[in-house]
Amino acid sequence: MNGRATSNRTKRRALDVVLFAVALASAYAMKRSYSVASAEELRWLLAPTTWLVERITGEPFAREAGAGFVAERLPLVIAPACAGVNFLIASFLTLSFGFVPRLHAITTKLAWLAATPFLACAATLLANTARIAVAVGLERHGIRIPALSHSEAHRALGVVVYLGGLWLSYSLAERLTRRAADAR
Amino acid sequence: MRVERPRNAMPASVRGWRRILLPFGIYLCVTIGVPLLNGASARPEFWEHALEVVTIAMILVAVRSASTALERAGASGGRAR
Repeated sequence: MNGRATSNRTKRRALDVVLFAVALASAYAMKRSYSVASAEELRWLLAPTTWLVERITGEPFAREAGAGFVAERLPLVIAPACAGVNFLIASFLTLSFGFVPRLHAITTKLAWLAATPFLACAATLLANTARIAVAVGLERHGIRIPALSHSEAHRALGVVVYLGGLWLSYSLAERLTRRAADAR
Repeated sequence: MRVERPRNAMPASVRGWRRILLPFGIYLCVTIGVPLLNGASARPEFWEHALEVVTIAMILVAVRSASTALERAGASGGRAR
């Protein structure tokens, strides 16, 4: 009985290692293909972000070929560098590495890994919208962070929103998996 | 969905650290580690970027850890009363 439990645990650990390798390979492929992607290739991420930012801030953006989405009244561009590809990858890896080992059944592990790209996309859309909406607010009211240049402030805002977003998505995923376990 | 709950499950403090450090570690790997592997270390502006990212991320980790510790202390104080 004990030997069987150990064998099952070993099998699950082996599967975890395989799934981690799959997650890493997918992340690497994402990084390779999207780190040099154009605004057109990232439109699937930039367009919904821009739409949400427009709804939240009321600031109109116009699409400009090659550049991305340019604010009509403010010096802001939602460009490929702002697409949040790094956050998308980090979020995908956090949700995979953080939760695959916790799930018991093999099918559940596979289903979770298949769902993580979509969850990571949703998290990216929300985090990116929040970051750009705050940037629009700062720009509109002329708020400057002392001792930081414009680009440094932009980067600092990115770190705060993205790391905060990763923590938040980890906590939400924890609640989701715990609730699912309690429901059984 | 079935979540593994072994009898010797991780203590709350380890879970708390994992909750903070796993996303933090992955974030740093993606934003600093991967560009370093791709040869970004040759560009001086990369180091400026890396320093800023690491500094702000460390401040956030410190704030988050402190708030988690306070929450835990409050919860255990409440239980003791």
